Amino acid sequence: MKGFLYQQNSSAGLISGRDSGGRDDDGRDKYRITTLMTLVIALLTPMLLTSCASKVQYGDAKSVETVNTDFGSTDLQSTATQMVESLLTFPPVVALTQSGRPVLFVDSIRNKTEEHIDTESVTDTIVNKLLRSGKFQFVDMTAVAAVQSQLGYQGNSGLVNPSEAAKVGRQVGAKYMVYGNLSSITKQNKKEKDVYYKFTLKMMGLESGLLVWQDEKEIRKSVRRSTFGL
Amino acid sequence: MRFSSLMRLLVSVVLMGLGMSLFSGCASNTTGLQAKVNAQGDSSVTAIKLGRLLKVEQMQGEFINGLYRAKIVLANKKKSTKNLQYQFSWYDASGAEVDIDGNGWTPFVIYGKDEKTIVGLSPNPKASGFRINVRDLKANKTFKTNLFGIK
Repeated sequence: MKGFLYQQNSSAGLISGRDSGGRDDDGRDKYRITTLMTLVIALLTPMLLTSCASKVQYGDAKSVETVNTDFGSTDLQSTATQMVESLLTFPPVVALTQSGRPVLFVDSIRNKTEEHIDTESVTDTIVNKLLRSGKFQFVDMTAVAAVQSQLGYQGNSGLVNPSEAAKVGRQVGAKYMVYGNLSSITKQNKKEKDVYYKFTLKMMGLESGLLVWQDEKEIRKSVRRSTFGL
Repeated sequence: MRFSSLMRLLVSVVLMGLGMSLFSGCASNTTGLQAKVNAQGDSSVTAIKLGRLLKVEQMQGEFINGLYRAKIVLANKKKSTKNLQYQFSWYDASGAEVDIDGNGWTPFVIYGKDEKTIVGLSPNPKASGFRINVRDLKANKTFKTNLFGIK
């Protein structure tokens, strides 16, 4: 059909070409425009698609991540930073750290949200920052079993030189316990989702049972679907 | 003659359109506002992109418990709410950066014609100067998605 139509048009152009040269030129120009446009689009479309094709890239580990409303790396980093800043600048804690480096241990952080969150990773970041400030010392309760096994080997196996074996019963006890919890409130309708996270961290004196410090960090994340979005 | 000029116009429009879509998809402006205070207390503000939006009202550094704390007050000149992000960098007395990998970008909201105080504490006792970078929250994406797929 197309070929037939084209022939018809061209023959009409030829016939009319006898009458007026202008119309013949117009017909050829139209044909040229179409061909050129097709060529340009045909050449540029692959360029457009290939120039930015998906590929693996290394990103900035510290950049803000907004893939979805789940607890993410940005939340972990900002939560840990704010908790450490609060703890290190709280006046009674400042007074505590003036004379020495108090010994702390970190209990688990309870995850009360509906998501799977590695709270130990949050704790690690906090401990890391506190240790690097030079104000605190930590006892690592996650390594107790390994330490016991190693001390048992040094003391009881008969393979280690007794004068060089690590002495038992000389570890320093923690004076304070750091613990907390992470909770969330999620609300959503067809168009919108709103997640509110609250991270609470506390420091308690083990002998006195008194809370020396406590702070909370709140995060609100929301997502709204666009009208034409999926 | 009419059609050949029309043809040129059409081709250039198509080229421009495609070129624009090509560049806008891949490039994003990652600059913003930068404010510095060095160990001697000298301060400077460089606004590359957010100069029309933000004004630095106040910035200072102080020592608390032997650690350096930076405080900066930003004012929104516009009436609309803005979603921005900031990152602190810390410098020692000689001007060298400390804790190079230690600071993440933190998102924050500043309401129209409002002020926002941002406080940062360097966990490194060596720090005695700071730099803060503020930029648009949208400038964070390494990967961008458009109609043609993931970029």
